[in-house]
Amino acid sequence: MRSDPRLLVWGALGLVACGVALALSPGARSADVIRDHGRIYIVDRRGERWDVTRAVRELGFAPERFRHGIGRDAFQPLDESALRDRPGQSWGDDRVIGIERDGEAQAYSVRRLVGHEIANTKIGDDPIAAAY
Amino acid sequence: MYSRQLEDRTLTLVPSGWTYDSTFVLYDRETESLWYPDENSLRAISGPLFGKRLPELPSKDTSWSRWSTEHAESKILE
Repeated sequence: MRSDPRLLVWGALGLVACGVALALSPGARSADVIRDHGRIYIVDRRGERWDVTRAVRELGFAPERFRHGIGRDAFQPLDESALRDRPGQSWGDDRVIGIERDGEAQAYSVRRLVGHEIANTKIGDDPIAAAY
Repeated sequence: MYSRQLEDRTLTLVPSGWTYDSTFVLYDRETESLWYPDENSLRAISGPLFGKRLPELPSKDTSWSRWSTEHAESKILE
């Protein structure tokens, strides 16, 4: 029986369509969970395995509630070099997270933080992390 | 806001790419332990630092104008 080339073309198009639909599907994807030699891993989209055995067994974390898994390089944290003495683009109503410590004050623009999620900085002599 | 000082070492925190119940799960570059908020701290939930905590620091969710009025010398990250 000879295979009809049109079937192959339609089949390939169908697979591509499914792939596109999956990639664009809304909603957070639950982690792929692997149990291997007594360890519990969640696997992210880049194929990296994260060992969550103790989180699950000792702290009550549920493996399937880890979501997204977009990889360790998805967000680039900011650092001290992003701190300025005076604002360049912040307006009065802009939302900030303010911290005062050891006589120093710093304000973290929420709008800027959102794109990076974390800033690793220092206030006085104290290393801090600003998280949104 | 969290302290990054754990005993005698300073940690660098990075998003792991994971969320748990819609909250970001972090890791530290130094040991690759995972960190997740718990009460008034970040707690290590995996890795060599399992169980250790980084305390939350007092901060204010406000506007730039209110903050800079009260803290004229404040630096800004924007």
